[in-house]
Amino acid sequence: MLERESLKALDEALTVLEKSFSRLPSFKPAPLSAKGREVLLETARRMQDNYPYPHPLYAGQMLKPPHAMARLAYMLALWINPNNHALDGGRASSALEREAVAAIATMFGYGEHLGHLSASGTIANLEALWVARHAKPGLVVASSQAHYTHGRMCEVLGMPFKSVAVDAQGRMDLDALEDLLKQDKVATVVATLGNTALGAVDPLHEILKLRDKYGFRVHVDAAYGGYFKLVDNLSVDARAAYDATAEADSIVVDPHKHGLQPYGCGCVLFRDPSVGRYYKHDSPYTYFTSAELHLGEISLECSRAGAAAVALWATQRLLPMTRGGEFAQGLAAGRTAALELHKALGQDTRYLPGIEPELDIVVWTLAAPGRKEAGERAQAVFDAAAERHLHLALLKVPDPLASAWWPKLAADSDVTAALRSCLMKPEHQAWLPKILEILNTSTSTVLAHN
Amino acid sequence: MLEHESLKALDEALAVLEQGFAAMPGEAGEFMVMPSGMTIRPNGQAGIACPVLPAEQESVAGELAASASQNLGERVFQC
Repeated sequence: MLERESLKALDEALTVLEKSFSRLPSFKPAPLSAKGREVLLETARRMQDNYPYPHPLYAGQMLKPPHAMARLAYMLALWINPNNHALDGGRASSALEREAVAAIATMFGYGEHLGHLSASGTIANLEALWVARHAKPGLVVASSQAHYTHGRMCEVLGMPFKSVAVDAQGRMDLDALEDLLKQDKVATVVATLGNTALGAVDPLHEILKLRDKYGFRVHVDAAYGGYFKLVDNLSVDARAAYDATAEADSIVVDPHKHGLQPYGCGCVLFRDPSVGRYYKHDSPYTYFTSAELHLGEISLECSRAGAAAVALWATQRLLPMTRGGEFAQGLAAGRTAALELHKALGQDTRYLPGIEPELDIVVWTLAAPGRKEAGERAQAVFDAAAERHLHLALLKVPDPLASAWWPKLAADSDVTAALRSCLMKPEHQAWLPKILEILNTSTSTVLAHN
Repeated sequence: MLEHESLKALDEALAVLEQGFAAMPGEAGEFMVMPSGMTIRPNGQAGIACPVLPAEQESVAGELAASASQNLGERVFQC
């Protein structure tokens, strides 16, 4: 199941890389010792205790295997171990980061911009909110389905935060937002393009119209869904939201979610490069090797893995971010799989599907007299499917979503437990019949014991 | 200067790691071709095929290595 052939290409690439050091006096680093090999194999045995994330039957949480290109380029960079804080620590990888980030900015419709990679979407969002605090201090609002990081990071930054209700589609409710805008002086609205629970896309294009009226700042959290901008099979509403990204003040996207990268690769972008003034600082020993921009001068983080930039650049080189291109087709396949799963669930009276997926996340529960029993059945199907190697996820669906989606379920509980599947891999489309077969068997087994 | 003998140990370790997933279903050829246009090769044992880099795309790895060679080289050792 684990691809190893490409290690040969890595070996070749290392030979190319070491040519750059050929003028140095001979130096041979110690090879891995026999004891080291044993420890490595022991480590592999310990790592066997994992869900099979790379396999298409892992269809639970948002975990996507990195592309072979990213894995190899990351490993290649580890022989140098560049640090993209300053050019002193990673000259080539800093250049690759700037190129890779510029390509992402172009994807979102930004021309001139300021941006860089980060350890994660959480850190990237922290930074976007930190800049927002400088540029326009005051209340931050995000939908009740936005990632919890926004409320938490506002607490870290000492910024007031409020949640806005969502509509039955799980998107920010525009009427609720406008009510809040009339009541409070809102400084920043966070629009989520692809929230992590449902994949719902906030109506960014409509939020921007409200910005014209009320004058707030707009930050787009596209950590999960950002790359869907390139996909041709979005709904009309989602397409309209994605088409408006160039008008946002800042955007966060996670290459380590849908960008085929290993963990440790988030990205933050600002439409106005002059926000760089908020970062102004000096270091007595860092920024001397070049008058060119050191990435640490425009980042809250200091040491950062240059290998993440190398991996991202190589992946983008192999799979350019073009609308409807090869990379986009991989995302579109996951969305098609999600739509097909949603449709199949709707044709089976044992299931109660939630909203039609806007991206590639499907949520459903089991038919039952009430929410409590539906949730118990969902939990039992989750366990039964896992026994058959199909790994799904669970989600607590709150009101008003549960009432809107499943009005016939007796409201004997505040939340309704549901099954959730993130169909992030292109292979999920081809494996859908197998996924449905296991789901069917698991459900039949559970219901036979009820 | 760059030690790459250890790739053999990595290859061995990956073989051990995938034993942990030996029970997963799937036969060679069941995978759809990756939209990247990458070829599909079965690895046999676990019965699941994985994408590998076709020869024409391995040049990206070489180009990347050449680019990374802009690193500081001897200056690293002077620090």
